[in-house]
Amino acid sequence: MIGRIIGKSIGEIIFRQSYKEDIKIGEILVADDKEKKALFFLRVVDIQYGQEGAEKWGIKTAGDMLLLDEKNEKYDLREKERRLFKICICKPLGYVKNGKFYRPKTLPSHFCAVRRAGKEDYKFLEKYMGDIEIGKLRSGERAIDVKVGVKGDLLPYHIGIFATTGMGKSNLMRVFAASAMKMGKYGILIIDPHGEYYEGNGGKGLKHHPMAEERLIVYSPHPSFGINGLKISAYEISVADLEDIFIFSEAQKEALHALQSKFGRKWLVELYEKDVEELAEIFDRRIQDITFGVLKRRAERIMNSEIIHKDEDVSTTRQIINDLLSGKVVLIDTSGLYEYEELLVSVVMARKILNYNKNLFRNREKFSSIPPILITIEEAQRVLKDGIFAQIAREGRKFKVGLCAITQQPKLIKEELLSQFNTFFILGLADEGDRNILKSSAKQDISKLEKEIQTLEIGEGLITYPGAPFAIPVKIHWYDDYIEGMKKEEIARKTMNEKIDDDFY
Amino acid sequence: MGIEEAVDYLRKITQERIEFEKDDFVEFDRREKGEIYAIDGSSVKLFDAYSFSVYARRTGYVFANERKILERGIEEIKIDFIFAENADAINDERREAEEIAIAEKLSGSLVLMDGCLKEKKDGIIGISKKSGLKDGNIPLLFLIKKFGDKIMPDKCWYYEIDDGIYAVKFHPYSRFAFRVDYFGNDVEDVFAEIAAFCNDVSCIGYPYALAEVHKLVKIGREDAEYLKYSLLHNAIQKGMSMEELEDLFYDYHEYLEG
Repeated sequence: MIGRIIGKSIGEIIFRQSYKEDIKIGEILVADDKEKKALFFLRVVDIQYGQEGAEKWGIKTAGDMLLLDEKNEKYDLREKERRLFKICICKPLGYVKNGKFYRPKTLPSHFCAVRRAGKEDYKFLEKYMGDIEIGKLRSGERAIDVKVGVKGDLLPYHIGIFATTGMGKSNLMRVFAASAMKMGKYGILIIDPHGEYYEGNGGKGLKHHPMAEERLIVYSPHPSFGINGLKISAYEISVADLEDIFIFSEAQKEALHALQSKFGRKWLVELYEKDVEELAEIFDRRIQDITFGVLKRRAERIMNSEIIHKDEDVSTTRQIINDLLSGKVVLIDTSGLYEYEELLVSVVMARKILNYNKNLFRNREKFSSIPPILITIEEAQRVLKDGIFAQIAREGRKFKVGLCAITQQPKLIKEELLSQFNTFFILGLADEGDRNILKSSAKQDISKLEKEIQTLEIGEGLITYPGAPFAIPVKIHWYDDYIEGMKKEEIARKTMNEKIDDDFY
Repeated sequence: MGIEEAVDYLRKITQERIEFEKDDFVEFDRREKGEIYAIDGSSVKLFDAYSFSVYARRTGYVFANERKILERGIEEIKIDFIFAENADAINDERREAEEIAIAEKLSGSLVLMDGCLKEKKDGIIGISKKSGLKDGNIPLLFLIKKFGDKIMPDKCWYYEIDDGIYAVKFHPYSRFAFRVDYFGNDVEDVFAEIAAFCNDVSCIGYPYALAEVHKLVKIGREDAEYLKYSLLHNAIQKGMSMEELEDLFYDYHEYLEG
């Protein structure tokens, strides 16, 4: 037992902590109510000093200590175990009675004993956990042997990963992808602008995953053994794609739409190949030369990219969609590309995937058989404004297309768009503005978890999603260890099968 | 007297100089170890029916060494009816008698009691946080402490005020000197041993065991309210009416103050 409840209300429970106990912010404790035969789950949101006696006693005692220190006089503070204590302020998470979880609508009994929760106490959580495992349940800094995962069904309802640099975003994404690879039934598209996912950046990467050979498909502008070439045909690029990555004036936008209207899917190639004079003539000089001049320079930049091809048939986008639809993790390495190229790949792929699934939607039978697809976007605040990503955020769920937005600045994303994201992975976030925007958009009440979010260590996080009993604290697996464990499991499974075979014969 | 006048009067008291015999102040060394009993009592008036009053009292002791409390002996709260006009004084006497009764059962170590001793008791030492001893109108302990600190700064010392009555400073940096009633021999040894209990930083210069037993026996406001409630509740269950009880313990002051 680590404490006894002393107050206070449905929204906040406080208890006196035993002197010898060391409790940390974010710990989940249980008030074991023998009278009500219920377990009340409490999350520590703040810790304060307490003492028996008046406040001035503490001030006087500290003053005497200072005086005696100065005089090099020995002193003691007897019975401090009883006289001094801490007050833990907790947010009630709910209670479990007869194996069923209820929201916090009642109070535990007076002076109810508080203890640390054991693995058995969390049994009720199992049904809330999904198949894409990402870590273990966390209580404060301690990991509890209860697996935490998100449900694959929630992928089209979008995921946000929010963390300051260095708090473990890449590790989380690797673990997430590793779990998805293990399941083999979700299409995950990862666009990797930093080249950190495949090789692993010093540690292990997705290529070290025991199932990488079957379930990981990699595309890169520089193909090599086991890595496919990334190719996009100019015919696949729409005006809307360009509007998502460049800023155009109204006149330029009109010209772009006029080009697309005139040349159809070939508009970019025509813009690139024809000279300004020729284009001006085609449009009866209704569009100024200077406008075409600017657009042509943009078109040249795009067409000169090593991944863009003039030939309509040279493209890997359809293959990528097929890979995703067969439940693979697809990694596109854009690390050698310019930012505009990386963004172009993202928007072209996102639009193609959404349109593909939209078309498939009419065929109910076929549509119901395809897996959910998740498109990850790094530094999501760059593109989550308008355009294809905003469109997917708003309507993707209907077409089984979800976004996984990774950002360290959620405050730069429109609140309306953020509210479309049902699952939040919140890792350490230093900026108050970022925390505030998440508070108002999360699907669980995290208003009292300010201190916990501030004090999250690397690899620690909170997950919120609809249906979860409360914001789930998680210690994210360390990717290298996680896949090592998977390898051992795989070896054990194979050995077991061999033994069975030996016995059989 | 107005505020100005009152301040002048206070200043006069604090500036009063009384010369004591320096040789009467005796320095002593503190011991590092020891074992003592500390006894205290507490009481509270629950009801006042004018012709009689109802009190709750609790007494107890702790046995401690210089580091920690080794044993706690706290008695149950007793309810006592006192039929007298000076009920408070009688209640105090009864509480002291109860404390002495505990003290007489204890042996083998020094026995400290909170307050001054009304009579000589072998092996029992009374330590008073406050004393009514005065020189003229000025509290005597205040004057002795002031003088003692001047001639023996940062030392433990004692000064014999009268036969068996001392002013003692148990810690070099204590803010207070206490009245100590002790009628036995080896005064210096006894005070040296008590001093081993006086370096708790939360009550420097006062034996921590006495502070501890004080907390344990204290009948707080909540305890008193609960006792009142229990008494009335049980009385009603046994057939008394609320009106009867209210009439019995009716307090006109409460009525006036709303």
